[in-house]
Amino acid sequence: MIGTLGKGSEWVRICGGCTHTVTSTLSACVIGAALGGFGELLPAEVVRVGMLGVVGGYAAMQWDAGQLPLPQSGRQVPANWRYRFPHGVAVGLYGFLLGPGIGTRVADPGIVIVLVAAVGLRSWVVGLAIVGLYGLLRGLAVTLTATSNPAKVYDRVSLGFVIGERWRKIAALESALFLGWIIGQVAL
Amino acid sequence: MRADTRKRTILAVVCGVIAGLGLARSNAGLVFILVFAMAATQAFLSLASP
Repeated sequence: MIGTLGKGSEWVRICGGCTHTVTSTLSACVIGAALGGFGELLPAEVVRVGMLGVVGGYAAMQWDAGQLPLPQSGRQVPANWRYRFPHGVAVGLYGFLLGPGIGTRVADPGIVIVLVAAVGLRSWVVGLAIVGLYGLLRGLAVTLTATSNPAKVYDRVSLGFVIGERWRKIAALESALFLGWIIGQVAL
Repeated sequence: MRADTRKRTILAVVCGVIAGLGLARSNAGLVFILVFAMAATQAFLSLASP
């Protein structure tokens, strides 16, 4: 993905990055609103208990205490899109696919907790805001990484793996906080 | 996982859960900030997607 976004002249990279970020945000907003709307339809007690189970399971996976299936496509983005479509269309389609976070291989089980939170807070507006923020920041992060220093392709592609461990620790701590909040909602 | 790392992880998890319990008893708006922070963290972590 970073390789595709980093191709071409500066103007092409900027336009491609904007397209990618916009489509990523849009698809994330649609999925977030759908998840939040689905949560509105469910009884509050069912949502709380379900959220406790799912968040507990995936938070344990973040702490290396278990293994659960991840909602992921099991592959990276479809490579042939970048040959089949013009550059602007391909990066837009990649944004649309990757926006909700599960259209490729998942980097961390915490994304499941974010999607479950979008359901569990039982409001389509909140769901839209949560997953939409994810889509926006994901699009911006990948675009800025792809366009930051075109001379060092390897550094740009491997950046995520370099910083990943630190972000995983933050994500695990946030999951612990969120799990505590859910336990409080169920028990108190 | 090494024993000292495991100990630190368990300590962080227990502290996190206790802090989360405190969050549940305090201002309801704080959980939205937490969830938005979780979404932002996952967005940056997506760069590490294999």
